[in-house]
Order: sequence, then C-alpha cells, then structure tokens
Amino acid sequence: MKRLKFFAIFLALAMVAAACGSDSDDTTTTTGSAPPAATTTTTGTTPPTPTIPDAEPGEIVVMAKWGASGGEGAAFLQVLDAFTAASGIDVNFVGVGDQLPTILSTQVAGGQPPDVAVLPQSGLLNDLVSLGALFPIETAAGDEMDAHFSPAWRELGSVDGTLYGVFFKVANKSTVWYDVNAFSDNAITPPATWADWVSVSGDLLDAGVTPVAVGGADGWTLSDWFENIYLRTAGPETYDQLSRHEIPWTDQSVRDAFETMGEIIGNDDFVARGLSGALQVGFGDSVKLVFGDSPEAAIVYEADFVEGVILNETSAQPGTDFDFFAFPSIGGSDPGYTLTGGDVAVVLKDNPEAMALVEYLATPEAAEIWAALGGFSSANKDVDSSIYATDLGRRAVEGMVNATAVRYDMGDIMPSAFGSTGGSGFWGGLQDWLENPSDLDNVLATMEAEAAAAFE
Amino acid sequence: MTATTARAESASGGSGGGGRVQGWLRKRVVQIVLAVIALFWLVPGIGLFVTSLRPVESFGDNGWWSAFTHPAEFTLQNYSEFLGDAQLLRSVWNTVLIAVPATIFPVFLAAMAGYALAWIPFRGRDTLFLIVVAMLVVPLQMALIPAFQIFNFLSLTGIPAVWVFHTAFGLPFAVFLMRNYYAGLPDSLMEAARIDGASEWTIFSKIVLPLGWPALASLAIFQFTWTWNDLLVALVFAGNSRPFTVEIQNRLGEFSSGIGIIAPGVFIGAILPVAIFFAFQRYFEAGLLGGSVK
Amino acid sequence: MATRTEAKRRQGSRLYAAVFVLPALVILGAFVLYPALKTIYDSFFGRFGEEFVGLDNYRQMFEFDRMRKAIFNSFLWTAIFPVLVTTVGLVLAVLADKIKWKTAFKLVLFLPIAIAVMSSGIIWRLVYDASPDLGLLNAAINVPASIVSPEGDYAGAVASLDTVIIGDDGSLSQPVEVGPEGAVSNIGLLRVPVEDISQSSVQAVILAPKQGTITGVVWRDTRPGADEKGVVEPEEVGLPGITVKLVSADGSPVGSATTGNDGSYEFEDVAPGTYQLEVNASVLQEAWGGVTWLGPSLVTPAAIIVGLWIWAGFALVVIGAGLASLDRAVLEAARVDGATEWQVFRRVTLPLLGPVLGVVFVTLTINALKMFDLIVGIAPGSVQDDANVIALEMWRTAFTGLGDRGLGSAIAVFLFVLILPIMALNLRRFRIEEGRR
Repeated sequence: MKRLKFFAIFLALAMVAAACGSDSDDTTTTTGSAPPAATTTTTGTTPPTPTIPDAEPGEIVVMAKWGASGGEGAAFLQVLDAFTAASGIDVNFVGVGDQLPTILSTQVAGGQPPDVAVLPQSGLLNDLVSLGALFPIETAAGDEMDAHFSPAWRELGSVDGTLYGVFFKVANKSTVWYDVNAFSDNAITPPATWADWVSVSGDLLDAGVTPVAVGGADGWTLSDWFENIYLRTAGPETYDQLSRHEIPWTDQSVRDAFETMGEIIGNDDFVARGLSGALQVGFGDSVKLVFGDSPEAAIVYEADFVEGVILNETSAQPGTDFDFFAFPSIGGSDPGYTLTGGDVAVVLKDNPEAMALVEYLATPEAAEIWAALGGFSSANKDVDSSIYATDLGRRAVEGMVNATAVRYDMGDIMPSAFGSTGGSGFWGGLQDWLENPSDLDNVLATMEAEAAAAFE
Repeated sequence: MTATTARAESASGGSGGGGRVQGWLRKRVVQIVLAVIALFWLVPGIGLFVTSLRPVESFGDNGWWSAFTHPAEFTLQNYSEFLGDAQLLRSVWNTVLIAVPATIFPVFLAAMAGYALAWIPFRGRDTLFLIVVAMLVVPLQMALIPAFQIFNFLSLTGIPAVWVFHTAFGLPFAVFLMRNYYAGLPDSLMEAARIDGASEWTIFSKIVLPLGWPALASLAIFQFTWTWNDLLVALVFAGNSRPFTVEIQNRLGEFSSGIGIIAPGVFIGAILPVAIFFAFQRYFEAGLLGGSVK
Repeated sequence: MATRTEAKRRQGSRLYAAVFVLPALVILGAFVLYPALKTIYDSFFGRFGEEFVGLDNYRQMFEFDRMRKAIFNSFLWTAIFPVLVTTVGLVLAVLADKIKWKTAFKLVLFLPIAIAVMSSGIIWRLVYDASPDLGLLNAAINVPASIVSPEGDYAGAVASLDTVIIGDDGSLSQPVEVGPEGAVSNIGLLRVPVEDISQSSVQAVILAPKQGTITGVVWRDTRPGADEKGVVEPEEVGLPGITVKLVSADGSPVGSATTGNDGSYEFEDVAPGTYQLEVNASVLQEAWGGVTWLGPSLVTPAAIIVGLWIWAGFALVVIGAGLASLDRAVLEAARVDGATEWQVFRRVTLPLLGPVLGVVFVTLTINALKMFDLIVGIAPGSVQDDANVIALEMWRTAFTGLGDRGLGSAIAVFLFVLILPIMALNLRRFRIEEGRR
C-alpha cells in the first residue's frame, strides 16, 4: 500500500518533469516556443519575394482550421515554410479544425490570440472587427491586394473601407458535378439553363437514374444551392440587399427563389433517398452517392472542393468518370454569374512579423505553392494558371477569374449566428424547408425572425 | 416465510432435492441472460472494429457485416497508417502525460477532502459539502474563458494547465463519491481509533484510505478514462503538446467522415483505459475487506 | 465534555480539516465556482459583455422554438435516463455478483466508456443508419421485412402514360376495348434502371392486333435522345417475367399471362367487350426503406439508448464497488434468519447501498441535464433542433459563430436553476442520513 503511494507520487513528479520538457517537442515548423518578441539578428538572406519590412525574426503563431497533419494542413505548411525561408521568421502553425471560431473567441476573450488566423468565413471577420480584435493591414498588404486582386476581393476583406484580410484560398461555388457515364449512356448533355436541368432530371428519372444527390444533413450545402439560384433569379444587387438584410427573408424574391429551387431539390423523386433521406446524408456522403462504388444518383452540386473529395474518397477518375458544368442560368440570367467562398487571413497581434506574413500570402508566389499541390483555388489574377494540378481545377479557377459578376457566399458574410450556424438560422431554415417544401411561409417567417435578432 | 429450514440451508450454499435444482436453474438463467446482454453490448463496438479492418473506399457502400462475405477485403491498412505515424504515436504519449496526473491529483485531493467532510467535525461542514456537490452542475464550457484568463495570469500553459483544469472538474464528483462512501464506514471503527488517540492523518492513511479502495479505484478508472478521451479541454489549453484525440481531429479531412482514422484510433486509444480497468478492478473483490473491519 | 483535551482536540481537528479540504477548495473555487459566478454575472449583459441588459436575455431565451424543444427534450432525458440507467446498473450489479466471469462482464459494459463519447456517435450511426444496407438495426429488421414484402423485379417503376390507372394497392390497370379484330394493349414503364433489365430482355416488339386475342407488350418506355412516351421505339426493351391479368368489365378474372423476353403477352379466345389489363403491384414493390432512427421523432429516444449503453457501465462499476464493500456478515445473518434472496435484497442490501445509489442517481441526473457530447456526436445536422437539449442550446448560443455570451450565460443559469430541486432533494436525504449518524 505504502509502496503504491510512493510510486504514485514518483510517477507524478516524473510526469511533471517530462511534461515541462515535452513542450518544446513538436514537429510543426518551429524551433521552440520562443516568445514572439525574442530578438535574434537577421541572417541576411535576401527574400526573393517582395520586401518584407524590417522584421526581427521571431516566431509567430498562425491558426487555421486545416488540421496540421491533414492534406490541407500539410499543403499550407509548405506555404509557411517558403515564407520562413524567405523572411527568416519562424511560424508555429496550429490547426484546430471546425472549432476555430470557439477556440479563437476563447483566446481573444482571454487576451492571448494567435498572431495570424485564417478564417473560414468573412462574417467572422466582421464580428472580430466589431470586437476590436483585428488590426488593419493596409500598409503591409494594400499594394499587393491592388496589384493582384480585383476590387471585389479587397472589399470583402474590408470593413468600412479599411482592409483587414487577405483572401488566400477561395472556392468556385458554381460548379455542378456529374457522372459522365450516366450522362453519356442516356445521351444527355450538361444543361445550360435551369429549365434544361429540370427536363434532364426528368429524363434521368425515366431511365431509372435518380438525378440529384443532396447532402441535407449539412445545412450549408442547401444554402449554396439557394445562393446560386437567388443570384440568378434576383440579380446581384438584390443579392447584396438580402445579405445585408436590407430586405426581409419574407420578400417575394426570396419566395420565388425557393420555389425555383423546389423544382429540383424539392421534388422527392428527384433526390436520392427522398427528401427525408437526404436530410440524413452529409456532404461527403452525398458525393459518394454519385461517385462511389454503389451510386444512387448522377449529379451532385457543391463548390470546386468536391474534386478533392472525389479523388480522396472514391476511385472515380477526372474526365472519364466525373466532370462539372457551370451552374446554369435561370430565366435568362447572365451565365457568367459566379458564387464564391474563401478563407481570409487576418492579423490579431500588431507586429511586423504578422504583417509580413499576410503580405506574403497576397503574392502569387504563395498561392502557386499550394496550387501546384491540388485542392486549392486562388483569386489572385497573377497566378500562372498552368500550375494548377488538374484540368478541372484550372477550369474552376478560370470560371472565377472570368466571371461577369462575383458574389461571396451569403451565409459566410452574414453574422455567423444566423448565416453559418448548424441547425438554425439560414442553414437550419433550409433544412426545415427540405423536410417540408410546402411549409415555405412558416420557414421564411422563422428565418426572418432569427435574422432580425442576429443583425441588430 | 415457509420452508424456513430448506431456505436457510440453501443460503449456506447447498441443500438436498428441490432447493439444489432450483439454485442450479437460477444460476444458469442468470448466466444466459448476462451473456446475451454482454453480446448486445458488444455488437455496436464490433461493428466499428470490423469497419476499422476494411479499406476506406468501402465505407458507405454497404454495411460492415458484408465484409464477412468478402473476406479478401480485410486489411490492416488503417492500423498500419495509424501506427506508422510518428506524430500520432507521440500524441498518444502526450495523452499519457496528461491523463495520469490528471487522475492522481483529483483522486488524492478528493480522498482527503471526502474524509474531512465525512468524519472531521467543523462548523459549516455540511454546507460546504453541498456547495461542492452543487458544482457538479457547472458545465465546463462556461469555465473555458475564465480559466484561460487565470492561466494567462499565472503564465501556466500546456500540459500542466490541462492537469489543473481536469482536476478542477473532476473534483465535484470525486468528492461527492468519496465523502458518501466514507460516511458509510462504521462509527464504531472511527470511535475506536479516536479513543486510541490516533491523529487524523493516521486514521486517514491507515484506516480510511485502505478501506476506501473500491471507491477510490472506481473513481480513478473513470477520471482516467474521461481525461484520456477528452478533446475540448486539450484543444483549448494543451497548445503544442497535443493528445491523440486532438491529433486525430486534426487529420480529419475537411469533408470526409474520418472513419478511416477514427476507427483504428478508437481501439488503439481504448487499450490503456482497459488496462487500467484490469489493474484496478481487483480492489472490488469482496473478500479483500471481509476481515479488515476488525 | 468540555475537558481541556477535548477543546484542544477540536481546535486541532479544525486545523486538520483545513489541511485536508483546502487544496480541493482552492482549485474548485478558482476554476469552478468563480466561472459559475461569472456566468451568472454575464447573464445580465449583452453579447460581448459590454452593455447591461438586465433580464432581456432571460426573456429572449424562451422566444425561440429551439429553446422550448430543448427544454422538452431535457425533461425527457431527466425523467428517463437516470432511472433507467441506475436500475439497469443495480440489476446487473446484483446479477453479476453471482457469476464467475463478473470481471469480464464488467469489462464489456465498461468498454463504451473507454471509447470516447464522440466516437460512440460514429459507432451508433453504423447501427442507426436509415438505409438497410448500412445500418445494423435496419438490416436486421429487413430480414423479415424483405420476406413479408419482397422487392419486385422492377421495383419503383411507374407507368409512362397517364391513362394507366393506379389502384389503391399500387397495381396498374389499363382499360382495353376488344373489337372483332382483337386488340393491342401496351403498358410502358418508366424508372426502370439499367441494372433491373434482365439479361434475356430484348427489343420490345410492335404487335398487330389478331382476331380474338388481346396482345401487347410491357416494356421499358425510355431511350436516350429523342423519346416519345407511349410508343414502342427502337432501343426500348421489353420486360420479361411480368404477370399480366385480364379482368372482365364486371371484375371477374378472365386469364393471366406472363411477358416474354420481348415483353409480349397474349390472351387467346377473347370475346369482344371491355376488359381491364392489370399488372400486379408486387412487381413494382420497392424494397423496405428502413426506419429513420435518427430522424426528428426518434432521435431523442435513440440517443437515450446510446446514453444507456455508455453509462450503464458506470453505474455497474460504482454500485458493484458498493456491493463489494458490504459487510458480508450482515447479509449472512439475514439469510440465516431465514430471509429469501429477494427479502435480503430489499431489506438489507438496498438500504445499505443507499448512499452509493444516491451518488449514481444524482450524478446521472445531472449528467442528463448536461448531456451534450453524445447528442452532438449522434444527431445529424438536420435533426440537431429536434435532439436539442439545454446544454447543447447553451453551447450553440455561446460558442458557435462568435457567440452571444450574455444569452449563453442566461441559459447556463437556467440550467443551474433546474438542478436546484435535485439538490434540495439531495439535501433532505442528506439531513436524514446525518441525523442517523
């Protein structure tokens, strides 16, 4: 008995010793937990990239939602490595997954945020600005932004005209992915208009192929459907009004868009596993329902990152098994309208190293590193498009670059409590609609109430 | 109460005729019922286990039981990927570094506090106990930010911070359990010790602590398992010393269900808690305490 | 007895008490009590803690349906879960005591706790999946279900023309007018996937009427490209093996035939008149779709079962520990006195287990109210609202997006308040116990 107690105490002490020692043992690109203000002489390596302000090489902490050891994390680490090589500034990368808003808000409230964070939604950027947590990056990255990005992207990263964020990784959200063989077997060509899509769906159904798979368990997939449709039925200006809540969710334009949407995904026969079944299917599974070994549908709509999912999780091949068509125009809308989303890098601690990093992320060189690895799109006009890893990826980027009008994912712009919270607000409302499309009035009323609360 | 003699005999472990058969039958029925229950309990876990032995592409195509009709499909790839990953293995060690002290501290502190609250008279003792128990109510999410601020102030980061937080949130239940358990110890024992002039510490360490082993052991098992499997607290406080739960979470591709890495992770991660269970469950044996009351 | 030593002893014991209790109290005070108090304080302030809003948060809390559903579900959990798990744990502890392999049994029940609560979500999704192909439970039910209503050869098919009448049982029927020259009656089917077409199936034939017969094809009325419904065209195959029935105008059956490889069937010696051609519903019967266990109505009971699966081991181990420490002598004495097993259990074991059962029950009740990880892990996004409980609502409000700390805190305070009655009951029981000591 006594021996056990002593052993326990000894063990505890050993733990303490080991734990204190182990903090410096990690494999992300860092040489130890040196405090950011540590001064070491610059090593004199001339950075090939644009001038990095006189930064004292210290270490900065960068937080993103890409897990440090997942595919995206590994790719981002390569970008950060290149930055370190060019600037001498060490980076400690922390990948926190979906919990990023929680972790970040905890650390901001607790007074110890990371130096730089890559936010998955620009609505989060707005919220952080209103908390006073972000620092303007005009001096550091303004020129780069003007040189390489269209004004739309600068605006998205700004609040009241002040630039706070650089959109590093973006996504074309107007790509509809389809089973090449299902189409060719049934002599179907990718539809250019919504009406065509409805009729194509009917043809597929007649041939015994369920047209569309929808990942209804994840509300955001439904929100992307809605946004693409609304952009086309209501036009870009009205789209902006809705995203700023200048018109209510009960507006006729919203109702029209829902009813159009219902022509395909409100039709129980058109959706794999029916509407209630679709509500149980997550996004990843919805892709597998089309491109996996036991397909149950021929078409799935989501952003260009679908390509990555297909390549990682199924054995379908680009071109021969899967391809995409641009989200069709509706009622004569401009076929060049494109919906986008993206991850934006912001600065939470005002120091030259952090500023140097966001400046670097605005350069084409930084984007090209990840682009070459695949699963990445950049809005940077000066990225050499031949560097993209796949043909399909290139086409998706070109769709964005050549778009006649670009709009950002509405759910990501709006206050996150309404626009990007699972199970409620925008996403939840769409799920309620999918469960019962005829209950539209109720759904819209609830959404309007929740939006009103979130926007005040 | 009829047939008292027959009953009394069966109580002492055996009797003639009907009593014996009845006892035997009852025993068999109990065995069968428990076996069936155990089987049902295992089935869901077996499902995940079989899934962990299947190639990633086959998830979502058909149920895990179909793997048995395609035995060639079985693969250890998910496991070898997991075990071949140095970072992942390092994170398992981090988990050990977190869970062991995070178990020892609250268990030890709770034993002391539990004893005091049960047997050392002082004013306000019972109210204090109830307040401690009331803290069971506090959801740990609400404490994240205040704790973060306190740790900042103390410049406490990484694994030690996780220890403190886990200790704090393990204490209410621990104190609750230990105090109630100790309160059940016979008065006579305590009286005798006091009369003998033993100090509080002696009573605690030589009498109460040994007698309390079953409760202490079960407490240790649960506290260990809870801290071993924790994700959120480590995510917020552990910094770079990531335990395996955080490490796995990091690897989940943005859109996949992640079963390919979670499945082997679950079973590899369950090894140590199960081992601890085996190590400590001996202390539940009835016989251990039979004579020590004297 | 106010002797000198007694007084000194009391002083000494207070010191000891302090030493024993202080470390725990300090940590609890800083990390549990202080945040709790801060939460109560925050509940009277706005989203980020700047402006004082008084009781606004509390009022706002009840406005949304979500919160009301959360309260209802939390009530369900609190009413069912602790009782269920404690009882199961108690029964199993007592039963397990009697067998030799009790450690193995405890281990089996303990395993779910050894596996993270989050991963139990994945484990149980494999059980609860709505598709009988993926979910264990539905697959098991499908075994008898597929015998009772087996999948038809052309499951899910529908008629290609509106003129075909769909009966209440799902059968298809088409009126046929037979004249002196016979009649041709074709029934086209849609939604027949390529996989359902039999190997022997060939191009559907175009038949001409023959005197005294009713003939026709049942065929797959779809082809790639230009396609006219209701007309047999090249590339459209017949559907063999379908039983067609001929029914006369008054409903009496006249005959039945089976379609051949080209989809054709024939009824001979048919007198002129009006008939109905029928295709049995069983051919079109779809496979059983499976119960959506994680759907809006069943998700909470489903989650409670998972909760039982996880926590029964806890109850078993803790109660088992209590059982193990019972003074065997007392039990033996009772048995020798002639009590039956049941009486021993009720009159001796149960009361002695009182404190331990109390711990288990109270802990489970509080856990029921704090239930969070499990529901997040098991409920798909679309039913989070239906599975919502107060703790989850608090989390969503305070921590998702950038959160509303004021409102989230108010919900947490509401949670505290709900637990007060339990504390009060506990207090009463406690007083009674202390009285006995």
